[in-house]
Amino acid sequence: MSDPIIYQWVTAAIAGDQDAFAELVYTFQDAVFNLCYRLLGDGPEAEDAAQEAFLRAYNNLTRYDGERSFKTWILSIASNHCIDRLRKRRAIYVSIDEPISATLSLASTDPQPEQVALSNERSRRIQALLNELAPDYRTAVVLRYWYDYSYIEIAEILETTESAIKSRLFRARQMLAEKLGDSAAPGHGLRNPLLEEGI
Amino acid sequence: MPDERKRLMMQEALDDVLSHDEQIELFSHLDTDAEDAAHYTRLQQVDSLLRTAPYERAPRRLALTIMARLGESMKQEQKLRLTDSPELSEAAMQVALQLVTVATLPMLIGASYLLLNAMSDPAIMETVLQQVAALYILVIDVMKVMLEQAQEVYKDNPEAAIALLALMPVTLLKLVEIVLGYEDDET
Repeated sequence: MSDPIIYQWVTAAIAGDQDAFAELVYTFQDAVFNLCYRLLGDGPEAEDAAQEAFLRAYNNLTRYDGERSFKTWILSIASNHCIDRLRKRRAIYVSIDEPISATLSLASTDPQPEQVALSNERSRRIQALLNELAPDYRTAVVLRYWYDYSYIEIAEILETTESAIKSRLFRARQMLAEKLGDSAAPGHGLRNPLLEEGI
Repeated sequence: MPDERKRLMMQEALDDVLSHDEQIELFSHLDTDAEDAAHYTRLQQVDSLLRTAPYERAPRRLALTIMARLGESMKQEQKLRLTDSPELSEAAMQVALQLVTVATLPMLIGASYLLLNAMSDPAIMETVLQQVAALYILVIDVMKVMLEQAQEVYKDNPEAAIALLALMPVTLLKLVEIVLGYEDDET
């Protein structure tokens, strides 16, 4: 069941109240942007995809079911849009050492430079690993770990079965474990700070 | 050859969906199988890594950009809606032009009155005929220019036809007011 305030904003937005829709955007922009960023691995493209997701949501507000969570609904729109974008891309396998856009530095908080650097490094490595996964696997992983959704909820968002999600998650983790192992293997030439940190 | 069931149990253990008995079974197995234990350790590393992954926040401009794009798309949609209903805009344009014609009618009636009065004198008749002809030509030219300009305006701004239609009654009322005011002054 959707939050009553959220539902009120949705109703007002359907009636043409743009301020109400702006409230929805402010409330869910971080969630949508993070999802787009984790799926697309590119800041400017994630921003564009997030905008597109909100515009699509606005144009389909009348189709929103008040019994469902609005966050789940908007994330479903965003993830489907990002998967479409990923499928249109050619299969590019990004090296674990490939730098990620500087615009992705954590703009959210004001931590110490060292913390920022560490966090950026972690973010960069995680993203590099994610980029190696197929779009469907990547989406399942992001929804599970960043949004803490259950198998059933992820299945609902991606309009598939619970067993399919389970299988995608298992396979994705397996692949990530192999990648982590490879990057840390002796003679590979890559340091793995994640393993060195004892994570 | 890895035991697939055990591998599945490892994954379920990470998601906390493994029953107590299955957990005991899995961890007993890991105590005796070094390869699976290493695999489970790697899976745990992946799990921990993902659980501690930073959450990217949206750039501050995102909401503003979305609202600006929304405003722009609504404007475009409104324009398209008008362009998509040419019947409405064309009908409005026709009515507006007919009203313009009606507005010029008193001038033409006046010219006809002059023509009838001048019929007794051939010299005056000739002058009046020339003036009426010139007047008609002028009116036709003005109408032609107006029509061309209206078509141009309509092409760029379909809503202008409706605006013109809305303005016509006001203009006519003003004209009537001016004429009545003139007649009052005469009396």
